[in-house]
Amino acid sequence: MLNGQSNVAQIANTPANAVVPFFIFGGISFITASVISFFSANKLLSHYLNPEIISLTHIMALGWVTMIIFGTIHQLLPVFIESQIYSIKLAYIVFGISIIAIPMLVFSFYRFDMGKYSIIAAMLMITAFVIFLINIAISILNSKTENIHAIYIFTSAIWLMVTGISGLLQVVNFSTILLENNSFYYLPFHAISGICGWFLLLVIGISSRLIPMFLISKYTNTKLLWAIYILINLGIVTFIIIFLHNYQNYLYYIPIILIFISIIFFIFYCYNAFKLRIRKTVESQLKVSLFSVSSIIIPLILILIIIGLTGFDKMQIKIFSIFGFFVFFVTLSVLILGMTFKTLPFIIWNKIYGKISGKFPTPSPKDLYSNFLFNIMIITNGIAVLLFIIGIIFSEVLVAKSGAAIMFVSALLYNLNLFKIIFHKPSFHEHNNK
Amino acid sequence: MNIITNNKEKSELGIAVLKEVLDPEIGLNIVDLGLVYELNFDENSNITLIMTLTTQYCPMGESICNSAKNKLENAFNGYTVNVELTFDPQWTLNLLSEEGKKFLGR
Repeated sequence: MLNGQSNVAQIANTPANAVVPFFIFGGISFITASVISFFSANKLLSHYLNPEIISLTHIMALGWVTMIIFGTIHQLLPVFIESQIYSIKLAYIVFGISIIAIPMLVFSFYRFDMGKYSIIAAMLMITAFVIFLINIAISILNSKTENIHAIYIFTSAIWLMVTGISGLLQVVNFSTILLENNSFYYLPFHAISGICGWFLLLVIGISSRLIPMFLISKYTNTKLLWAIYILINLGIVTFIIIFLHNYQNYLYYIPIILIFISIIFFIFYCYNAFKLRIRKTVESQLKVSLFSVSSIIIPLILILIIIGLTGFDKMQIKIFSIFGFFVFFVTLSVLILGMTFKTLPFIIWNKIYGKISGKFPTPSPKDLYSNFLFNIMIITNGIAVLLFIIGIIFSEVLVAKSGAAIMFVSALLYNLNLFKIIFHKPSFHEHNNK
Repeated sequence: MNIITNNKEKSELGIAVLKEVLDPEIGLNIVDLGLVYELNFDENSNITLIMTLTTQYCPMGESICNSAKNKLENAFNGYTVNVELTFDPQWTLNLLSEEGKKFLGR
């Protein structure tokens, strides 16, 4: 006879209350970002170094993507490390600090006020990053199992801190000269550590576990994941060395190619997981996420073109704008649009029906949101992205503005579905049965 | 699907009831998914269900276990159900029943 070692209470996951606020703030940030992009559409078509674009980038990167990631990690880290998260209180503190720091930072950038408010906001943001890092580091150390996914998450949190510190130095450098060059000069350093160190490592670390899990796939390949991990980190470090030593531009091909190979490896990993899946039917939420993960290759191709276009400033700036837009509004955004509806309905369902499940008929987690709204949201998002890119390429403000307006509709639909899930109430019949 | 039991008669009803417990994400019942390892009955009206989850700390784990407990308590009036989780042996795809594989499209 087998010996059941644990009881059910011991596997209790992170409570919904520690996760849901991050999703709410993320959803509101997405709407705010679409409003800013509507009123700043003309700026999107000019040089990216202007207050509106800097604030738009930060509301997308911090308010939308990072907040949803924070919420998701607090929920999923226990699954990865087979142990509970170290402190729920620290999760609340990270949220509390972020909701003060992000609006403060975005508003300061929008007004191009690089004085004390933006410095305080940046310092608060770093504090939140440090607390987040401590929480996940102790959780990982407390767990008995060692796994590559946790190492990806931990490393990406370190890069997040590096991104935050470099950002703070750039902000301070506006008022007090700290650095050799002007603040904008250091933007590539800030961008590579944020985009590749934080987002890319994290997306691969999480997706490499979730995609086979949701597809019910037999495929695992830890060696390949280690190779991807080494290539990305090597790529980022090489990029930073070339940048700090001001080496020749063509040398940037080395880190970009290293990261490019890692993406090819990751797409190969996803393809194998897909091929060896047991679950034949793939839900639209997962299809959307798979598309988003595969689309990571496009920004890298754009970066290769940007390096090749040295000397053709106008074209280079245009492609750089498309690159930034694609990273935040396509790859990361679409991943969130898909994954939200593969995680949040289950969190809320568990909270409402977890205890009474099996006693009375209950809806399925998928019934907590509208699949119709989800499909319209994805279609509007696709149209918005197309219009935006056409607008940027042909410098057509009206086209880009239309894209922003449709993006607003998509963000609104996301929030409608989000709040439909969060405020789900058990039906009258189920109440009676209670 | 090899579920160990000390009471074949009662376990038939028990397994039929457990086939109504679904993994909310996959939509497949926990018996065909291969999560149920043992179902034992004793003379003091206690039922012990030893089961596993597809992953430890599975976000839906607690509700799956509660659902199994509630279903068994409904079916066996007056019995006390104890659900024990084990991860030894760990769940693998090889534990899927033929019905389970068919359900998933294989």
